[in-house]
Amino acid sequence: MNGISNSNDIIPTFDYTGKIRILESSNFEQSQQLKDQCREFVDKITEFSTIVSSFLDLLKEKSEQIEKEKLKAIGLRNKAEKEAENRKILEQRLIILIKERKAEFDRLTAQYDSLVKIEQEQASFIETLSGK
Amino acid sequence: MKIIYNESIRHTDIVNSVGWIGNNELYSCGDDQKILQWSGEGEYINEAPNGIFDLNDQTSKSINSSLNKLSSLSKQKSNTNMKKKIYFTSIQWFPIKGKAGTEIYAISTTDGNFYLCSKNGRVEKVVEAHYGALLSMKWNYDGSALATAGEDGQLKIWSRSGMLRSVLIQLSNPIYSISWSPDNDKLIMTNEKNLLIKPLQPSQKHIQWKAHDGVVLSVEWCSVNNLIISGGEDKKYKVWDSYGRQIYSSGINDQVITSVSWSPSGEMFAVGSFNSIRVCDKLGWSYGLAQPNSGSILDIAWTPDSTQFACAGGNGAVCFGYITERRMEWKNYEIIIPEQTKIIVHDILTGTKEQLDFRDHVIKASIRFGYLIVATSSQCYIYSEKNWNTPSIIDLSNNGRVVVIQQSQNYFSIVDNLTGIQVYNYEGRHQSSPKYQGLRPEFITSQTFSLSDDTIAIIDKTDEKSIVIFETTTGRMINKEPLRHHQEILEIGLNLHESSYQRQLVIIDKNRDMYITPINKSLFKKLGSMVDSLLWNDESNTLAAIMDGKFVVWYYPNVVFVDEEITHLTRFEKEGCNVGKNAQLVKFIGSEATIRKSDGSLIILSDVSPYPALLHELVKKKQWEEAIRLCRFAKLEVLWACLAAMAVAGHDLNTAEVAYALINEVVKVEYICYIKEIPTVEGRNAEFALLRHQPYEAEKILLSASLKFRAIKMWIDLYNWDRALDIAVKYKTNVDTVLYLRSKYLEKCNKKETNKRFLQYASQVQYNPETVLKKIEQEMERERGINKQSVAAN
Repeated sequence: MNGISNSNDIIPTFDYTGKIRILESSNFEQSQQLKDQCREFVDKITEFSTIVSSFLDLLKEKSEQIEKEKLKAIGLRNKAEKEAENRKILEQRLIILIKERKAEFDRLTAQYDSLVKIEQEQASFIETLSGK
Repeated sequence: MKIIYNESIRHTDIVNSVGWIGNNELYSCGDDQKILQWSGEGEYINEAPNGIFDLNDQTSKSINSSLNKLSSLSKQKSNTNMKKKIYFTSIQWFPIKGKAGTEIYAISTTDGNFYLCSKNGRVEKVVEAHYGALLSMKWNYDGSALATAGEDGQLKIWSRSGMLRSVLIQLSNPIYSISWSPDNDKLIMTNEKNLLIKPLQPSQKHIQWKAHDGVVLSVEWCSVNNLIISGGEDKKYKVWDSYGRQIYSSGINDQVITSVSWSPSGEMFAVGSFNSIRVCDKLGWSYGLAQPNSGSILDIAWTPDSTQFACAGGNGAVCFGYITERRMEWKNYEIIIPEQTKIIVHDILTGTKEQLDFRDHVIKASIRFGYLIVATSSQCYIYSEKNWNTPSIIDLSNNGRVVVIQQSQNYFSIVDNLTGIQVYNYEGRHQSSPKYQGLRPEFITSQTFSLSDDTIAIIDKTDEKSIVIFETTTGRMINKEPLRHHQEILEIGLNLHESSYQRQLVIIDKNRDMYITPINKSLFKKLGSMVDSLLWNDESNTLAAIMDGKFVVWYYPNVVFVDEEITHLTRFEKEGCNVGKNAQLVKFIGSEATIRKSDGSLIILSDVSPYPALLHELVKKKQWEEAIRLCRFAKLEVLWACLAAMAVAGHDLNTAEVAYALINEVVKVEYICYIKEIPTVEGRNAEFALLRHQPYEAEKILLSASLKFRAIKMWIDLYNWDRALDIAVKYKTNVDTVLYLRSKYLEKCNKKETNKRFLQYASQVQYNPETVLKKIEQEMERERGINKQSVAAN
């Protein structure tokens, strides 16, 4: 404001490099400095923001992962809980199968027994024949 | 045996029913409102088109448009409503296959309708049949009628085109399952815990019996073997005969039995319950069990060739299965069918294994007399045990289903349901195709059909009391009249090892009595009762049977025609061997018999003595001396009894005398001594006939040899005075003799003549006792004279 109102008071000066300056060289230097500082600050801020966003992404990823794991855990827990039941069903199935096989086995044993008997009978028959 | 299965879930909801068209195409319908089409290999093809839903859309639309065009919103709503209402309960293909593409099926729904549709999905007819759901539906076997049953407890019969014929019965409970009887004149249905058989004829009474401890859910009547299977909520399945007698009951299973189904061959049936399919033999014991992830199995359908079945699963799965590793044995060969198109022949003596491959599924195989016969759906292969590489092949390109293969020494026959009976020799040359009025080849089983080298016997399906006999090589009927028995016949068997004039037929009738008859006339003689199974030996003329749980062998069944009194002596009963109820004889070769007990186990018995077979051989060659020596060596009463009977049949007096003496039949020995003294051959033959209790045959022999006096004397000795007088009068000789002897006989008994004819002749004919006695003497003399003449002539 001062600069504008006192426009008539502007005295051009020359700095030490010989360039014409409207602002006082000290001011100019300060402003120059400020400008630099500002730029630096902006850079820093953007850097910070990228860092933050990447951090956010990371968090998000993690949360997703956690969520997944959580579901998995629930699933596994359910599975574990159900396992007992599954085992029971499986057991039942196997029992049925065993029953079936046992019946088959009994059948085969009966057949085997009858064959053994025949063998004995034939052996004794051969004996009587060769004895005579 | 094993069940191989694969299941695939294509329906999104319960599958309610499956139905095969031919052997290679399956339709399934489910609660997801879809009808799907599958291939025979169990591959999903596509969703079958059907017009049922369109039909409902149209009707709903037309209703809506007529109702002054309601808003489109309500129209849509009603459309979806109508579509939701259709849930299928059953799909049944028309049993007789027409031309490809023209097949029709009936499909029923929970709203009590059934639809007749063509294969391309066009709805031919919609019928409102029942209140509430239509639960079960079956075509009869010739396709002339359709029976439906529903929640309303009604059973209705419809014509082929869907016109109501009758309401057969009204029950107070829903009918869950129905099935036709083999001859289409009865229906069996479930009624709570009971089964009910209702004849179509209103005048006949129905039979009902309590079948299960829970509600009966499924029932089927086999068209081939006439057995009934049922399954219910008491977790049991049971086998019944057609009179409601229980043949088998399973133990309590883990789940409710939801479906049962016979294979069309009648050899086995499938039982479905939650996550399990079981295939059982017709006698109930289990071949194998499969546990697919299919949910409750609501319906099972077999392919017409019985090689495969499909199941409708409660979780939307359609499950396909078949049986493998069937085995057969014959002498040193073991036949295994490991896959549907493969057979392995294992020779135990040499340890070699032959693998036989086929183009199509093996439907039936049979090995006997050194030949393996394999029938596939298109061809029949004949392998000789000498050469497993080059079979003779017969084309069976008529799409028939092979029902039975029977073999004899030189011929075999294939019965298929379209062509009937075909007889071939082992070179594959066609011999004959026997036919008769009313032949129903689809009902022939190995029990009702018997083949020997010169004769074929079949129980007549239209009249089960009679048996039709054919000549094997020509296919002509041997007798004008079929053999008739007084009871329904269940099982028959021809002896295999005898010349044709001694061909005999053994039968088991409805009362489980066993009879034997020669094939040329109906002369049924009883052999035993409570007989479960019979079988003739492959190598000799002996007969085995399971009688009251015991294994019994008749070494010389012909004995009943020779000397019935010693029948029990020619019989061998295996001691200490109870094979239980309903055991079946599987094989009887040489001295080895194989029996299948009702629990499915095979028992092999081998102490059938080898001597009778030797004896048969010797007698066949008329080497009586040798036969006697054999019997002396074996020292078995059975053998002597057989020999006695054989000697009488073979008219050898000396052997008969020795043999009868050794079985302590003094009377018979005396009689044979008496026969020996008779001068003429005919006279002796006549006496042999008398020994066999055949006086009329004896009379015939005597009269044809013009030994009239002897014939008259024979009847007098038998106290058949009327017959004696008849002959005397007919030939106008010796009337006086008859009268004289009669009067003497009455005198002895202190009786008076009451017979009118004798009184009449006594008044007409005068005689002098002395002359009569002289006459008798003269007759005897004359006979001796004849003999001398014939000896001189010789």
